[in-house]
Amino acid sequence: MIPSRFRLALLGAAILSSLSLTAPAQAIGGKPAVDKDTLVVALSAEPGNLDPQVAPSVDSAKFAWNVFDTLYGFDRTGKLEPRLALSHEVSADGLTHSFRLRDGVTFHNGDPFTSADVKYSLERILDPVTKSTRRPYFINLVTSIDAPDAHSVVVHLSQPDGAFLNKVAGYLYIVPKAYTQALPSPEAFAQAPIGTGPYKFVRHEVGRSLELTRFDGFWGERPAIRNIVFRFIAEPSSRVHAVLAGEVDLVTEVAASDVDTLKTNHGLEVLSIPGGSPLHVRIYSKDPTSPLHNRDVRLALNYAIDKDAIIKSVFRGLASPLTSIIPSSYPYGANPTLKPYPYDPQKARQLLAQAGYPKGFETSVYFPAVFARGAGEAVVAYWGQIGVKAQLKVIDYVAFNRINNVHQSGPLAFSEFGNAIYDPIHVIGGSVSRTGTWSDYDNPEIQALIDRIESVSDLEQRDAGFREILRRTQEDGQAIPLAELALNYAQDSALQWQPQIGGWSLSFRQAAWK
Amino acid sequence: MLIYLLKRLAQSAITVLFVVAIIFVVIRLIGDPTHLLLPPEATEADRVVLRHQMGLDRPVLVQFGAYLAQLARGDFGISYRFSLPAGQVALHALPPTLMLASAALVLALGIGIPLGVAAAIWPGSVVDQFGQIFAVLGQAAPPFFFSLLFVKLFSLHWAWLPTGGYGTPAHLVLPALALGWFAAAGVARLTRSSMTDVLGAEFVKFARIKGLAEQEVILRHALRNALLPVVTYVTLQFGLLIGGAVSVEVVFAWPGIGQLLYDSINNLDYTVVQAAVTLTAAIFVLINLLVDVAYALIDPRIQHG
Repeated sequence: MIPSRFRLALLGAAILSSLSLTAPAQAIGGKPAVDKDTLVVALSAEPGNLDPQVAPSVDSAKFAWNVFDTLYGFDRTGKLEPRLALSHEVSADGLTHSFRLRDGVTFHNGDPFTSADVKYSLERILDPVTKSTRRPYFINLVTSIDAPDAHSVVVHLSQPDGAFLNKVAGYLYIVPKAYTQALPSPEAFAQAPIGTGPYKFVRHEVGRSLELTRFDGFWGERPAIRNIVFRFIAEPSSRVHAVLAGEVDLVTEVAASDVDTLKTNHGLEVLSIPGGSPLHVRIYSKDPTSPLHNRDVRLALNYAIDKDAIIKSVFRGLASPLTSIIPSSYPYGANPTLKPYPYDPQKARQLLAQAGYPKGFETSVYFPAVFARGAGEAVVAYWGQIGVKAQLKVIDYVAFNRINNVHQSGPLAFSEFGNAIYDPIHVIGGSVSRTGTWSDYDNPEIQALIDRIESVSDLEQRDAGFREILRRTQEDGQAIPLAELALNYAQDSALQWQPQIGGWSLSFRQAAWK
Repeated sequence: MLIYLLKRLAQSAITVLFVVAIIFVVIRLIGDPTHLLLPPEATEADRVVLRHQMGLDRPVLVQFGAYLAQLARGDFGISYRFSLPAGQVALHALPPTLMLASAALVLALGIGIPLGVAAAIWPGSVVDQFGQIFAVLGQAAPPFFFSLLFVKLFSLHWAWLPTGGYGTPAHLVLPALALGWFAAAGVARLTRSSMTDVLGAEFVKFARIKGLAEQEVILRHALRNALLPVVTYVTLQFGLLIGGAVSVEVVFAWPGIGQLLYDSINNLDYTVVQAAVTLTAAIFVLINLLVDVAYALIDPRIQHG
């Protein structure tokens, strides 16, 4: 009785497990999920707020690049290119930025685009009632905006800002003045957003889908695909299943562990591009009583880790070496002459002894649960090899953000951040500068370099300035750079589309079916 | 009876109010949404401005008072994440959840009861053994596991059904199966044990001695009595299915209230969390109320006064 029941259970389990391992065998290539007029995209997170001035940039970039325009925008590699502006001039003192606007542009509702819309858009961001998430970028910077004629805008700044144009490109989406002002509440715009972009809003069903359709009055090149449908699939394996079953044409944020499986499917194309986000361990080094205040200790923690092994085993090769917190995929500012600290436990031990910690020390490191756990475990194990006993404190991402943004995530914390404006100042200002949100680092010499670069607009000088800053931070062991992770996408092989380099923004202006 | 009903309604309203109060405070303890909404470069001064605009700089008690006044007008506030009315966002997610929970429940009853009855009638038989395995699998493996298994099988291997999403009856099948199996397992076990008890009871023996056909003994006498605890169990299950379908909803990208709550908590979208919890609590309490009323009507032993 019991043995037979046991056998039956075993048989059942065997059947179930064999089925669960069955590889899907389906041809997808050339068979769009809907038709060749439509592109169905699976996103990991819903771009909740459709007001591009209110939504946080991670969210809005998924759809806003298609519906809205900015005065300047970024090309696929992050270089600035004119969009609603034709040209831009900055005064010698760096305080006055003048834009010449494009003529003949209309909003989705038929309103003509003029300088009044630009002035209104920026003022709307500054108005606290809008609850704009972009307000912090402009509030202490912009003093006034003039619209001398219908096609010129002049922005006056309180201090020179070398990255101002990048901020305009990344954060200043243009909304129509007359339409927006006539709405009953600031929140109403999100329910019926109007822009000048190549696609216009059709429908948003919370939790289900967001639909866009081509705007025939678009000023620029007409996109090839008529309809864009976003679907929201939070679970990574479910996203992969959806593209394997041909229910969606493109999936974002494919896990490194799924890439190999997907690559074997001829109907699919896997795109892995540099994510632009530096995975590193943040160091709280200001406190003079902490071992981490000592440069030798910081360097020892760098030498102790075999980063290539982590890239190979944890990230399956879908990551590149990182020498500083500005990855090499940046359009400028990265320092290609730097080499990562080699894996040298002997040297690490020697440095620790030199610093007065021959037997190592005990510490702890925060680790957001969304990161690949293996990376955290590997780093802690490598440090264990040189006597540094670090406790891995795995923490929920929301909770982590809360402590990480207010200097409570010490003494060590795994960190990563994207950059919506492509200029390194976002990252350098945030994690190297004395006053940075994620910075517990204070180096007077490097600080002087950062203060100087804030007002430099010339790209070549900016590039050189950042390179110098990165060289010095590496020398000083400001952080422990681990890797630049790739962002992986999978798409129907009949789809022609290339993702943004070093960013999570999605633009379908160039997408087409073969 | 009317007084009893009014009393129970008042009790239910108080219960919901308590739930609202607790969630209102607890969600505020989890985190400050301005940290998530504003970019990391934002200064404390920036956060103060936004907090003020959102009304989050007032004492919690004042906020709660204002919220109750809002609720009285049927206004749940505006979602931080969507800039849409929070009540509308939560209501929009309700039909998919109710649909999924109902389908799962129908499956649970349709599979669980016959399986349980058969197992009780023929203990130790192949049917009984199958029922045991079915129940053990259903209860031991989380619905999450079956969800993934079903997708691999029915969507990828055989390509019969979609891997996820919402809209057509085909989209409902797999999530309902995954969730329904879990519920069916409990129903089957409970039916079996309850039926076994009843089959050994005096009145069933008496019915047999009377010479009634076996079919009639089982269906008319035994099953009706055996089902009472099952009905109680199932009504409670329905409440659980509404709130507890999160893992299934996530795997199938099912736009229900579980998924909405999960996302809203992660995004610290206070107003939507409050609206969704209030709504589910109200449904839960209402179901319990209906069950109690039904019992009161059926069972003369329950006093109402």
